[in-house]
Amino acid sequence: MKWTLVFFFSTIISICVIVYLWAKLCRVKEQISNIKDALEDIKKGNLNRRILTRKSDMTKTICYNINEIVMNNQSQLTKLKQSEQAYKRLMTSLSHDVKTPLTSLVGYLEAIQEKIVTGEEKEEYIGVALAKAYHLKDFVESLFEWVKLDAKEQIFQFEICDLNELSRNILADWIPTLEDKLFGYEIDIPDLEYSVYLDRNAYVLILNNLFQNILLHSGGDKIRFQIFEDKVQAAIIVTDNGKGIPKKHLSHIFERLYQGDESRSTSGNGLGLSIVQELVSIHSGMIRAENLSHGGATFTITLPKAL
Amino acid sequence: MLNLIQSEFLKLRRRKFIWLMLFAALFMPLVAIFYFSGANATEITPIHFYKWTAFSYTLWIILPFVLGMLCTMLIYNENQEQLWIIPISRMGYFFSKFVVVLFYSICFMLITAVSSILAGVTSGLIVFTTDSISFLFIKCLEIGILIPLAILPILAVTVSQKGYILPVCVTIVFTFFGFILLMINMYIHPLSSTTAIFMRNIEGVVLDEPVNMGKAFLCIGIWGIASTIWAKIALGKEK
Amino acid sequence: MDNIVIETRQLTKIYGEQTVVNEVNLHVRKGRIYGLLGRNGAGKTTIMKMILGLSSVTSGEVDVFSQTIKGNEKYIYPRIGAIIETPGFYPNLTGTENLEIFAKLRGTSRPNAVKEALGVVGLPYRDKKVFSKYSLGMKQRLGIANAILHDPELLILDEPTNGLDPIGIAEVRSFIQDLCVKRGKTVLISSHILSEISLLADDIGIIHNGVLLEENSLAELHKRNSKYILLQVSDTAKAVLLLERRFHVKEYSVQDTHTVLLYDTDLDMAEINKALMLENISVISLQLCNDTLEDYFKKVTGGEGIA
Repeated sequence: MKWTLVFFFSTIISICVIVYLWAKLCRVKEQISNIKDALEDIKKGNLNRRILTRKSDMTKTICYNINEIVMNNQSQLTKLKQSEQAYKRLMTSLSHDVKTPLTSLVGYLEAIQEKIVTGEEKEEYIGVALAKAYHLKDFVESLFEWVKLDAKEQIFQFEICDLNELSRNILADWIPTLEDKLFGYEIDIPDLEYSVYLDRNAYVLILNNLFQNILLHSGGDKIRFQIFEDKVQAAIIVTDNGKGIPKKHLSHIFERLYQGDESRSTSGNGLGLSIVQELVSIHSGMIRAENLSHGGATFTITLPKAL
Repeated sequence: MLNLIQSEFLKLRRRKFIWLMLFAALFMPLVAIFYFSGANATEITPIHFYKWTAFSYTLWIILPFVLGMLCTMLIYNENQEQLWIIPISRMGYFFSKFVVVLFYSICFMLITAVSSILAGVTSGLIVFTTDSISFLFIKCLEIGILIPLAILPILAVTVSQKGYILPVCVTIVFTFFGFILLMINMYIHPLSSTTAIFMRNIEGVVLDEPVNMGKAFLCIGIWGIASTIWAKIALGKEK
Repeated sequence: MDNIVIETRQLTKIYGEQTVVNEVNLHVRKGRIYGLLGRNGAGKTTIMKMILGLSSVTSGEVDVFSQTIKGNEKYIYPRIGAIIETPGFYPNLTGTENLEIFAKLRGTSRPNAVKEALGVVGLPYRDKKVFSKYSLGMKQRLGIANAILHDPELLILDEPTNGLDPIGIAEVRSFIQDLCVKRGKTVLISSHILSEISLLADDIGIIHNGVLLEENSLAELHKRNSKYILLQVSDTAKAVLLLERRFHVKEYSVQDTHTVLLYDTDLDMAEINKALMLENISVISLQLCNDTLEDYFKKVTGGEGIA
C-alpha cells in the first residue's frame, strides 16, 4: 500500500516536471521563431518592429538587446529624416520667400527702365525697390546665419562678460531706432556687475532679433526690457504691449520658417526667433514666450551665471 | 499558460470577499458541534462526526454555491476584448479560470477538514485518531477536485455572460437540482454523480445498489466536455 | 503595397436590418496619423472593432500588415496597441499592477516598460490608488499607457481624449504626434471633433451613417479649402507692380512664373481683371477660393455638419 502510494506520487511529480520542461521548450522554440520573423522584418527596413518578451523567458536579454539596437537605429534615422524634411521645407519656403519680393522688385525696376514712371514718382519707385532689396538682403543674411547655426559650423568665442554692461550697450544702439518708430521704452538693468559666459556677437544677435521681431510683429507701441539676476542664473525679460501671440502659434514660434501671420505679410522671414532659440540653447540657456493677460507678449531668456 | 494562471491569481489582490467566503467552510463544523452536543454523545465515531462536518451539505450545497459565486466574481471584472487582442487563447482563458476555481476548492476543503478536526477534538466529541484523519483528508481532497469539475457548466455560463444576475441564478438552480436529483437518479446531474462517487466507501452509508463509478464519471465527463465546448463557442462568437 | 498598414475593401456590417457600415474602403498609410471623423453612431467604433477582429464582418475584407487577422492573431496582435470604447481594467488593482498583468501576458520590448508607459501618460508609478478610485481622465490615460506598453507599430485609438480636460487633450495630442513623428508609428484615431482631428491627423476619413464619404490627406483638404484669390497671368512682375500700386495689395505670394496668390479675399476681382487687361497683361485665370474646412465638412455630410 505504502509503496504504491510512493510510486503514484513520484509518477505525478515526474509528469509535472516533464510537462513544465516541455512547456518551457515550446516557449523557447516559439520565441526563437518570433525573433527570426522580427529580424527578417527589420532587415527589410521596418525599424518599428519590436520583439516582445516576458520576464520569465529564457531569451529575454537577447530580445531586449535587439530591441534596443533597433530603437537606437530608428531614432537616428528619424533625426536624419527630420532634418532632411526641414531642409526640403526650407527650400520650398525659400523659393517663395525670395521669389515674391524679387518679382515685385523686378516689376518696379522694369517700370523705371521702361520709363513708365518719371520725376517724383520715379524717385518713389526707386525708394520702394531699394527697400525691397534691403529686405531681401536681410532675409538672405539671416538665412545664412541660420544655416550656419543649424549645420553647427559657426565657431563661437565664449568669454566671461558683464551681462548688464553688454545689454546696456546694445540697448543704447537700439534707442534711436525705437524713437524713430515711436516706440516707448522702459529699461531696467541692475547696476552691479554680473558675469556670464557668452559669445558677444551671438548675444547681440539674440537681442537684435528679439527687438526686430517685436517692432515688426507685436503691433504695440511700448517695449520693456528687464534683467533679473540671482545666484545661479539671469533672466532677461522683454515685454511688449501688442496683440500678443495667438494661442495656436505659441508653441511653434521658435520653429524655423514658422510665421504667425497666416497672411504671409511681406515683412519678416520666420527665421529670427528660430535663430534666437538656437543661440540661446548654445549658451545652455532657455527661452520661452508667453502671453500677458492684459495683451502683449513676453519673451523670457534665462542664462546661467558663470562660475 | 503558467503566465496566465499566475496573472489570474494576481488579479485576486485586495478582494476581501473571496477570503470571507472561506469562512463558509467553518459553518458545517459549528453546526455539527451544536447538533451532537444536543444529542447523546457517547457513541459518536469520528467518521460519523466528519460525515456531518464535511461530507454532507458542504458537498451538496455550500461548496457548489461558493464556487459558483467565485466564478461570477472571477469573470465579472474582465474586459474580454482587451484580453483577446493581447492575444490570449479562448481556451487558455477558460482553463486558467478553472485552475483558480480548482485551487480555491481544494483550499476550501482543506480548511473544512482542519476545522472539522479542531471542532471535534476541542469540543471533546470525538477522539483524535490517525486513521480517521487521513481518511478525512483524502476524502476532502476528493471533493475539492471533483466538485470544480462538476461545476464546469456554471463556469461556462459565467464566462459567456457579461452581467452577474444570470450566473448567480444558474448557480442556485444548478445546485438545487443537483440536490434533488440525488434521490431520483444519481447519474444525470454532475453534482449528484460526484456525490455518488464520493459515497462509495463511507462506513455507515448504505446505498440501495452499489455505485456505478463508470456511469458517474461518464456523467461528469459529458457535462464537463459539453460545457467546455459551449464556452469555446460562446467566447469565440463575435458580436 | 508595402506602405499600407490597414486596408479594408468593401467592408460592410449589418445588424439585423440596419446597415451600420457600408462598403468602406479605408487605407491607413505607414507612419501617418489617420483620423476617422464622424458623429457619434456613425460607425467609427464598429469599423475599428472589425479591423481588430473583435466584431464579425458581414462582407468585405480587412488586411492589417497585409494579412488577415483570422489565423494570424499571434503575429498581428503583438504589433498593435488599441483602446476600444472605455478601457476596462481590474478595479481592485492599482494602475501599475494592472499594467504589470498586461505586461506579463503580452510581453514587453524593454525591461522597465510599465514605468516608462506610465511616465509617458503622466501617471505615477507604484501609486497606491486602485483603479476603481480613478477619475475618467486617469482611466483614459491608463488605457493609453496600456496601448503603448509594448511599443507597437500600429495604434488604434477610439476617441482617446474622451473625458480628458483641455490640458489633457493637448498633452495626448502632442504625444500622439511625437509617437508618429519621432518614432514612426502608424496611428488610426477616431473622433467626433473636427478641430481635434484637423490639428492631429495627416489623413482624414469622413464617415457618415456608415459610409466613408471622403478620404484624403489633410494638406490636400486644406489646399482645397483655404481662402485666397488665385491669379494666373502672363507676366507676374508687371501684375504684382500693378497690384501693389493700384490696389495696395500687401499680402500675396508668387508661386511660379505665372501664378500669384492673393490672401486678401475682399478685393474686387472684376476691377483687378479690368486693370490688368488695360495694362496689356493677359489674365489666364482669376478665381476665388473661399471655403473653410467646416463649410466643407458640412457640405460633405449633407448639411448636418460635425459637432
